[in-house]
Amino acid sequence: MSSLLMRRLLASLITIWAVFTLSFFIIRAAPGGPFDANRDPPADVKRAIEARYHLDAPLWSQYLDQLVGWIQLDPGPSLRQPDHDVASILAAGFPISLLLGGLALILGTTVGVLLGILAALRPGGVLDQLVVVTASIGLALPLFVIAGLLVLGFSFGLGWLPPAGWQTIPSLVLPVLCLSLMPAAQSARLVRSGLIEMSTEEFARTARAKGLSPFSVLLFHCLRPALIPLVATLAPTAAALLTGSLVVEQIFAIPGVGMHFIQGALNRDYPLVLGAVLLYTVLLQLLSLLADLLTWILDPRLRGEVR
Amino acid sequence: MSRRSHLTSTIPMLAFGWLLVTVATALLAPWLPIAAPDAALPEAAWSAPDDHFLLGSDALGRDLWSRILWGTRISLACAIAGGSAALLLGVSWGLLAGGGSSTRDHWMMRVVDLLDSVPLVFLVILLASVARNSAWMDAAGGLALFFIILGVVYWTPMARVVRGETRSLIRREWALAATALGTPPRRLLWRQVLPNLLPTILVTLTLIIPRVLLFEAFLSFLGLGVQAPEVSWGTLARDAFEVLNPVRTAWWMVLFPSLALAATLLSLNIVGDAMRTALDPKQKR
Repeated sequence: MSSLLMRRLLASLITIWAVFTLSFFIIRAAPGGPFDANRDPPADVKRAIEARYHLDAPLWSQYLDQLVGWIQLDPGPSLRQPDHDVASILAAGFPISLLLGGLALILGTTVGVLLGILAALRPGGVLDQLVVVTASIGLALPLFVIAGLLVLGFSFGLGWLPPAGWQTIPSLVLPVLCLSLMPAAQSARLVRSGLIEMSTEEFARTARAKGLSPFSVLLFHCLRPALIPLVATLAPTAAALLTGSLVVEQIFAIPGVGMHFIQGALNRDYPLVLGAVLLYTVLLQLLSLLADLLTWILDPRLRGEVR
Repeated sequence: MSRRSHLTSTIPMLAFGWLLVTVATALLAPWLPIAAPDAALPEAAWSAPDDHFLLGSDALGRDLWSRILWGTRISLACAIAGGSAALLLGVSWGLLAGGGSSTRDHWMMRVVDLLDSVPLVFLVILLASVARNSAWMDAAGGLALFFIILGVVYWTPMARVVRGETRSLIRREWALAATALGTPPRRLLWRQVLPNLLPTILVTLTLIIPRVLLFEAFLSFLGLGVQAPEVSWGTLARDAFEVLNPVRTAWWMVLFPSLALAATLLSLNIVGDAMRTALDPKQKR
């Protein structure tokens, strides 16, 4: 197991390094610097700016400089917000995004698992069909369409909830709700199909044959193996949550990492954008590592093979 | 259900009808009796849907109905660009990998693995931000670059599927027989294997196209995709959210582009599902 873990860690590190290198060269390959949109400064001012941000050094030394800087978690200043460095901007946004994403993941998965169990109780029943149709509509539509309709309905139509902001508890409701739809739909589908598949297995038949009610067989015998695919899709779900948070933070004006990322991308604030890309990459690699570990813990059948 | 009835029952037919209307609109937009999408009437800004503005007007007094119809063109063009990249690059990559030596297969698929392990969405946002207002945009035209981006992101699933199918097809008896009769490997791949892959390719394409459409809307909504003065459904939604505030609620600007996008995406999914059920050899009963 430990050698497998080491190999997974190494692969993650290589991916992160590849993303850094690719991003660095995409940025450097672009014609025009970040200051070109401004009025042309005098030549010596321009030289001073370039020296300040090390834009005058040879490419390979800039690359090494930045790589070392990122490894020491000191990526340097932002190009558009000169008083802040990239690390502090990201550090300010991260807890907010983490809270938003965490709440959405917990809410979505809980509701999704419950709906999946309800649907699997009577496959083909009205409730089951309702869950299946809602889940596939939820997965097919873009987040901003759903968010737009919710904001129109609850904020402007009924006036119950604020349409933006992050200060009060009521303002959390709509963003978390929007972001939780995807994990809810996804987990409802997975749990439903997992439960239906497991209830035809021999162990479930034995449990029913010894007199247990179908409900308790489903809940106490079938649920645990049916949760394995849910854990295995943790990494793709997290990726979807991250991209979703870009849209949600934009719509509801939430000052998280996603908002800084998009603002930076629109302003061509490269260090900030690179920082956000790296943060997301590290996060995704950590989560997929976690998902592998959890699957290994949940599924005893895998342990023999892995050693 | 017979294979035919999967395609001809009511809901798939409705969805297919909607797609036909959408494509026809996209093709015919310049000749339809509608206002120009960029004809601004400042004195008629913010008008709610009425006789003159069927679906209302935006902050500059431009006709939303006409902008949605014109937006169809760009949104569908993006879907087609992503789909053709999947077809050209994905199919040939998969075919060459699956039909080649095991070394070539190994290295070609490592490239696909690497691309899939990288969070492409974020790199694409980075690329889009780098390309904004740069000489790349002027040289290639903003849209062309955007099409290339869409293509680059969406060819890997097609390459995977095609490669897997190719590997299993060239082990069949008929393929062995063709080789034994002296068919050169290249001819075997392109003339014999490729036609047998068509159902698989079609099914994969129905999965890819809605995702491209969604991705275009996502990027344009964030302001990094289609740029003004071009309109797509994503930029229309962005315009709507920029002016969404309690003082002046232009609900029509949020609702109608969203509905157009939602109806098209759902129709694509429904038609895709129906085609998958009808074409999937495993579901033959």
